Amino acid sequence: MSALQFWTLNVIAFLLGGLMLTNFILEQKTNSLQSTLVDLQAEETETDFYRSTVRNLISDASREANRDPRLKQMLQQRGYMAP
Amino acid sequence: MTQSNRPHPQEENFAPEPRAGKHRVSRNSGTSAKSRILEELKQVREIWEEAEQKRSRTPFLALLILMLGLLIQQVGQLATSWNSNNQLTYQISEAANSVKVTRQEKTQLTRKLESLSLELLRLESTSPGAARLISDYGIEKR
Repeated sequence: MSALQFWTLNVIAFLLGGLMLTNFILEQKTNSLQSTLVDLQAEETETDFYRSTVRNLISDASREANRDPRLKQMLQQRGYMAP
Repeated sequence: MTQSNRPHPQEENFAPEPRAGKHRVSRNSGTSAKSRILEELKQVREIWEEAEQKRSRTPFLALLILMLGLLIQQVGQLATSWNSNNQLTYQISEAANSVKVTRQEKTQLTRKLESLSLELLRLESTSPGAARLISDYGIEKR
C-alpha cells in the first residue's frame, strides 16, 4: 500500500469516526427530546382528564339537582348552575 | 554441428586469421545482444511492477469503496437525525407553550374539583343526589 493510499484511507476513517460519534450524540439528544415531548403530552392528557371529570361531574350534579333541592341550592350558590 | 558442416582439417589449418574488424563486429553483436536482453529484462520488470501495482490496488479499492459506502450511509443518517431533531425541538417548543396554559388550567380544575367534592361530602348525609354522585365518582374524605 502506497503512502497516498494509506493517508486516503486514514482521512476517510477519521471522517467516518467523526460522523459516527456525531450520529451517536444526535441519537442520544433525539431520545431525550422524545422523552421530554412524551412528558409534556402526558401532562396535556392529565389536564384533559381533569377537564372531562369536572365537566361530567357538574353535568351529572345538574341532572341530580332537578330531583334534589339541596344539591340544586349548593350548585346555584357556587355558580355551577343558573338560578 | 553435423559432420558435413565441419571444416576439413587442412582447411582448418589454412583458415585465414580473423581480421581485427571482424573481432570488433562480434564484440558489437555481443553488446547488442546484451543490451537486447537488458531491454527485455527491463520490459519484464515493468510488466511485473505493473501487475504488482494492480495486485496491491485491488484490496485498496475494495476498502475505499467500503469506507465510502459507510461514509455515505452515515451522512444520510446524520441528515435524518438532524431533521428529526429539528422537528422534535419545534414540537417541544409548541407543547411547552401550551403546557404553560394547561398547567394553570389544571390548577384551577383541581381546585374546582376539590371544592365540589367537599360540598358533595358535606351534603352526603342530607342529599341522596350528592351521595349518588360521591359513590359514582369515588370521592373520598381526606
